[in-house]
Amino acid sequence: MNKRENILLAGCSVFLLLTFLPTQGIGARGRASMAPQAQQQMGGAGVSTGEASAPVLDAQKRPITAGGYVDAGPIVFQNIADKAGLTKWREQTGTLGKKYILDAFGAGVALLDYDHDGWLDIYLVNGSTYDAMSGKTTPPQAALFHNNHDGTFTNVAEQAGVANGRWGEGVAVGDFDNDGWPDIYVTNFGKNRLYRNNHDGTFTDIAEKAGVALGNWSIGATFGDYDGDGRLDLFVSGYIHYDIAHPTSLESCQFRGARVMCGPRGLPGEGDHLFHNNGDGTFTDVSVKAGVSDPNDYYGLTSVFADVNNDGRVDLLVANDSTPSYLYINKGDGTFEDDSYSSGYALNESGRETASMGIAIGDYRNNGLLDIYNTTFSDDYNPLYRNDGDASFTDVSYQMGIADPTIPFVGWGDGFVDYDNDGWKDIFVVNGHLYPEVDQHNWGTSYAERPLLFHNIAGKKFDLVPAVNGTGLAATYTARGAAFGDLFNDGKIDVVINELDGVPVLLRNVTVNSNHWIGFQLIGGPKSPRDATGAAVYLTAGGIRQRGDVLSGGSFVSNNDSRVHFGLETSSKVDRVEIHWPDRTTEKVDIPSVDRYFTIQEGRGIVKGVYDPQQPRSHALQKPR
Amino acid sequence: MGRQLSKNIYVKRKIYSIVSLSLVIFSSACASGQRGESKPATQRQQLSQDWSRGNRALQQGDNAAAEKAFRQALAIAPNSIEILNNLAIALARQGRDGEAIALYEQALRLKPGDPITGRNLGVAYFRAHRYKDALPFLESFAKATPTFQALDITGLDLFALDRYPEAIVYLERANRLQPNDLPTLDVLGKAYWRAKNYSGVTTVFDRIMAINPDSPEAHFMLGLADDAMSKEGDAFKEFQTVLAEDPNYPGVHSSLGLIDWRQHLVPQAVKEFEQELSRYPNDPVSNYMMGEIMRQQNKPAQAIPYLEAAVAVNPNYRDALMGLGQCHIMLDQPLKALKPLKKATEVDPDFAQAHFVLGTALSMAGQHAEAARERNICKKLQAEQNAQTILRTEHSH
Repeated sequence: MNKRENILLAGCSVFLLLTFLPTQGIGARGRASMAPQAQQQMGGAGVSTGEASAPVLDAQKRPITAGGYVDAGPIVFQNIADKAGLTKWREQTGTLGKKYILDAFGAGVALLDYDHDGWLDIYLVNGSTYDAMSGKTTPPQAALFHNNHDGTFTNVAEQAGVANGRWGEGVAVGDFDNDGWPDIYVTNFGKNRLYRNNHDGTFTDIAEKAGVALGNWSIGATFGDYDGDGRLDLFVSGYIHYDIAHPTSLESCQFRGARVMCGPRGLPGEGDHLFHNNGDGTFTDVSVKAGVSDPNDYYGLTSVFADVNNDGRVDLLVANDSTPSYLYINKGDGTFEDDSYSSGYALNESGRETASMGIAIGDYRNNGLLDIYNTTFSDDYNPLYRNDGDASFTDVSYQMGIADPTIPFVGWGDGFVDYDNDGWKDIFVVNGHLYPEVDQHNWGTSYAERPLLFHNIAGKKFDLVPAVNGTGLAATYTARGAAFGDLFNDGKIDVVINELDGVPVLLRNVTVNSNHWIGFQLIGGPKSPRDATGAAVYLTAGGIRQRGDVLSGGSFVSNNDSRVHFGLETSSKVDRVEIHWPDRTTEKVDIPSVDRYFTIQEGRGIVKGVYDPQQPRSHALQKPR
Repeated sequence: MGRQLSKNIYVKRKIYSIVSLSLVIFSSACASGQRGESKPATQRQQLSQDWSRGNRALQQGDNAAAEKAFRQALAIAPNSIEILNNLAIALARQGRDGEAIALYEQALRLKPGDPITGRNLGVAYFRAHRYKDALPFLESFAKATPTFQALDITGLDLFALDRYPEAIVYLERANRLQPNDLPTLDVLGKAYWRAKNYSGVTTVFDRIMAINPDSPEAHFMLGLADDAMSKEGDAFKEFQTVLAEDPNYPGVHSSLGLIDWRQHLVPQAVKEFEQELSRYPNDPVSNYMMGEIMRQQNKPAQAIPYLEAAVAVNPNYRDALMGLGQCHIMLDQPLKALKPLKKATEVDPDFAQAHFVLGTALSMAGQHAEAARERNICKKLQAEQNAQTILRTEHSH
């Protein structure tokens, strides 16, 4: 074909290209900003909604996702998983080549003190394999690592009856029966589990009996008392309505021209479910009536109940993959209003949907409003939504300096964590690509990726904390779930990562400074959930008023330490603590000292608790209601 | 941008070739500009001297001197449409189009329907990218004086207004008068293209090839075609050929910049856009891209002048308008963001993202109800667009 023919044949396409060029913007953000999304993704692979970005390499020509390390700097996290005994267990999900999308979503992790010994334990959800699903091999099992109080952990999952053995996905913790002991809900591809705590170190799965088993691909769960009856209800997001017997062919999907697994685009979405707690050990599916059933069949991932408009009622957030995210505002009458778009949470700064994976919720500006940080796919930045009040959110990622560094990464678990106890909530993100194939190309990204820690500069901007060689930040993981909590009761927030097809990572917080801190375990009163899920603590110290919430779920299909933790920087006293309980009552509590945990019971103030320093540990401290 | 790109590449080229010829300079009749005013003899003498000095300076290209002389003359005869016209020309030649337009408008108020003033005002509006305002004057100009220039500029104005079938009529007439004018053929070809008259495109391309198959215009069009077919290497060669023949060919550096940008070579792209802007400071494509790059680099204050320049050339440049709004949002200036964002949604009511970003600005400005309304418009539009996409996809499958 000669040039003349070219131009004549090109005709209309030249025009179309030029017409669409500006709408595709520029750079990862802009390029992705206005591309015709569905057209780009339909029938294709992957969950990216952004266009390909230029590779970012470090001085040694490594992708920045697996490089960019420095020799000197603050040492904040060290991976002690091996020493702690966690690496005796390994997560396993699907094929190593990740032929199907079911293979790619590793699992969540929960931090909970299941036995009331005053030390956080670790529950790691397992995936599964096709051979196990067909009965050819023994199914991989979940791990419940009991905290031995000496820096080591022992896997007691089998004895505790929480090994799952199904194709596990996510986890949420909540005391649904108000007996004072944390229960565990595990989402699966297949039927889910509701492990009721038997108060003796064991659990019983009552999901079928309770009516919350479902059956296809559930993933992100969260407990919350949406109707104010004092009992925790349960929300479960659905991802894809998946037929394991007829998975979508590998041949038809591409990522940057390479063949990869298919989905979620082009695959049918799975609906979401809200289960109302009947108070008798059973639940009723009220999804449609409550207005949260996901009639759009979006690809739900993480979900979390949180009061984002400060009306004392928990609202509901759902991170949807490659589709707009949901923000449902609790109307107080048992129903929700879909304010996803009107709130600004549905899309990113450029009005574009993202592949939302994880959700972190926290008040990074210390103004009493909960902000949101979502993780997304590579070629997109992770959006930080500033809460402007009245359930309105503005994506301020670029203004806060937090957008660009995240673009090459595929983000999963995330949390607002004051790692250095300076009184300002920082952001921790764990990463790992979806496609193993990326390691065969020079795309500036890698399958295993390093985590990112952003230091909060007084709520005005975030600085990326350098990854110092030899530390936990300068190592790569195929991370998925992540949970944040103080595993060693030293006032420093640690991180546990559930690696896809890998061993767990325990990033112990080794920050050295003299900052003070304080933490609270809350016990709800008769009209609140017993574990106080949904409560908000407002603490004033050193002229700063911070907010901490008791939440269930979040991060990436994971569950954090339910204690509320505050860094106090140089303040050695707390001026004021005000607790907004789930039953919408408010209580002020005088706090006598810092650098320790207090247990506060609704209406009774400070009470003895399992986290009190040098108190005898007792399994019977909290009697069933 | 496609429309902006080609529109401005070609229209701009025509502007430079036409404008200086189209303005009508009054060379006499200063006395008739007195409008009945009785001047003392010394004043008349002074007026005549200023008028002559101004015209001489204008002819010599000393526009500052001309301006000075005409201003002195205007002080004596403030209602002279001749002096107003020639002063306006002196100002326009100094790039002061806004002041020139004001003088033409003043002259037209003094003598409504004056064909010369109307013609000059039409050209001035066109130069200032006020295509809609320009059209009636240019149509009158072309009707009264159907020269190549009159027909060509009227066709260009219609092209700029996206009225392609009408533009084709004028441009074809212009082409008949000057068949070898390649820039006119360029625009004519684009007009056929936009009018989806592909046989027309073919005939125009035939004409270009017959005139000079190695002309910059031909290579530039081939470069665009290669680029459209993702043959970046071929496109690059074509554009380099254009540059070798005409280093100042409008749009070639911005086209190279776009290729670089698509290959993620942002620094190289910036260099090309800067090259384009050094030659054509008003080039909307380069201004838009530079603005977007600055915005992406979290430099909204630096991005704003670029985006404003793009919008100045085409007030209906929806993407530049949205970028401008986003910059103001980044600078926590929601009230300043409202105007460009509202304009973007007016220009293209189906621009879902602009509705969403407008919602963000409104929300930041405390106008939550309005914010919710805009964001819900985005929701509705995206749902419709997704549904259409699904239908298209299913159909194609």
